[in-house]
Amino acid sequence: MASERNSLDPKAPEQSGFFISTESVLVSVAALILPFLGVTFSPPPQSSVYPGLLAALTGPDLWHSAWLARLLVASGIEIALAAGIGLAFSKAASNVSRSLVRIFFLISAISLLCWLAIPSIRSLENGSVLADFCISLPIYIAAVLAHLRLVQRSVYDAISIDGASPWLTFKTVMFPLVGPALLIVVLSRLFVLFQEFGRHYGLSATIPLGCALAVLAAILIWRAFVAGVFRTSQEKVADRQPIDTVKLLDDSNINLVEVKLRSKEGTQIQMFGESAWTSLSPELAQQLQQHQVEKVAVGVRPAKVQILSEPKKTAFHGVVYSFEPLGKVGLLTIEAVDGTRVRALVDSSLTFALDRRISFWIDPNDLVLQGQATRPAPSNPKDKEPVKDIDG
Amino acid sequence: MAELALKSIVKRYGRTASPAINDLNLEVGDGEIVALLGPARSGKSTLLRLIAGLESCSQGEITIGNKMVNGIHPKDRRIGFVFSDCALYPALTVRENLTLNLRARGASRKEVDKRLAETAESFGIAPLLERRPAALSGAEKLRVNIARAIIRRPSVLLLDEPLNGLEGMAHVHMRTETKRFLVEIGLTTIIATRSGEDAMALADRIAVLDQGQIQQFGKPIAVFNNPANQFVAEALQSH
Repeated sequence: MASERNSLDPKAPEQSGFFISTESVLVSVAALILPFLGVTFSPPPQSSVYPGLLAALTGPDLWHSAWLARLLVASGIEIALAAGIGLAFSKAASNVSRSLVRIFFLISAISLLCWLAIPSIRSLENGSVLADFCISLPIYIAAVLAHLRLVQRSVYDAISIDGASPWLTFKTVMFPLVGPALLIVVLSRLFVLFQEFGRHYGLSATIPLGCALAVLAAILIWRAFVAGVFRTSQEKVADRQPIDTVKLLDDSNINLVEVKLRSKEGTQIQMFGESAWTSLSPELAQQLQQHQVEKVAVGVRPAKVQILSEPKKTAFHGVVYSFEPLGKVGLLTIEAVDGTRVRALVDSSLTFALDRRISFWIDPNDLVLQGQATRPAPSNPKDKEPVKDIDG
Repeated sequence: MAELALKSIVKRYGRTASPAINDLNLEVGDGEIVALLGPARSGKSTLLRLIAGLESCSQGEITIGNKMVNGIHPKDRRIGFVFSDCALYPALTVRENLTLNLRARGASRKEVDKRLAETAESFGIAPLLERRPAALSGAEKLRVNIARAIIRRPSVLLLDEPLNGLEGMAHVHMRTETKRFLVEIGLTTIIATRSGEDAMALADRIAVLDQGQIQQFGKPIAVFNNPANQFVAEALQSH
């Protein structure tokens, strides 16, 4: 990096070991390129007076130049921040219209056109200051307003119902939401501030340095946003959704139940933590035998789950988790003894109290066996029979 | 818990526009679950917003537990609101989302922790407390959304299309879960929905709404078997 900066300004002091890792490469490239991308600066008339950066920072005009640059540039930060924070505090935030955002963009565009088209404005003593305010400030305000528009209206309603004070609302809800917009404003103004400082101080070394610092800050904050501060590792794990095995069975209403094979011949299986069948049909036993696994996921159609009026020892058992009448039929959800929830379609004229003990039965021939093994799956999707409607 | 009564409610947007809610009367008993069933723009959400105090009535009276609440700020109406788009605060964790309204009311840290633990336990969201809304699935968001409404111990619970956006098995599963929650907590509840099946499954009584007016109000089976008109019959068939 030192050699690259020296190629721009031979009088700049050498520094090494300051930036490390990939950021250092990015910053170096940015420091080289950005000054050539429309960043104009005066030739450094006093550069001979300041042989190096360290000496320059102790020079007599330092504070004057710094103040001048701040005056010219940084007040934009205060105005944009005041506008953003004021809006975040006010109820008007919930009613920011698209037209309002467009108006600010329009003001900025018209200002830019005027600045380019009318030479008399450019020749004004403080023309650049005027242009800066008229072109960039509306853009900043529009950015803040656009962020506010992204907030759902219902969030404002939720705040109202929660009864949060304006300060609590601002601190916990609004500021984090408009924060990114304000961050952009602050960063971009700091970037310009560095350039202006260098221009007025006559020190070309500050321009690449300013660019470098601004780019570094942007990279670091971006990384913090994406990886560190705002998303925990737990959240990243949570983003990984499990595979929806129901989709494999092609029926969104079917019960998916895990069946344990209790004998190598596949003649005994355990379901819902209870052993209900001691002998299965030869066809089913043969199918289960093909899987050569301990557990198999099977489908049970809700219409095929029979609710027994009397408790039966050899049946399956559970409690009523929920009952939803759906017109002619009702959807009964049973929590089996192993915690599995199984849905059954029943006559809606029946009533089922929550947590009532219940016995139910599933005919083994009604199992929909798709070969979706829970251990290494040997099944071939082409072999599957499509599962039809739950009433089918 | 408390009963809810709406008397001659009218809501107009603008002077000339036709009313969004037109002379509506409704009484909901203590601990009863009522579904407002109707297509888009039938006035369901508007009615919920009027009850919550997010909008004011042009005419009429809203009574919660024998107390007229017209003109009372939403935070003082003792209602819980479950929004269709969840409306969780995106920058806050689930824990902060749930406790914001308690903190806003000046509850002590001990009280906040106690209620949070109880609510997280009953809704099964304890493992989600440190996550942000962006990291939750649709079903988890719904649970958190209902938990946020419940944690403040409201008198009336309002759910605006709570199962919106859930499809297939997730929809059926969350409807079952919601039904279970609602029966367990036993609050006076109003659910706005477009789905006849959801209304049948969740509610003790159904009010079918069209253009801000109730077409029929009664028990699900009664409305299903004897629809007052074709609109009601079609509304009950909608999914």
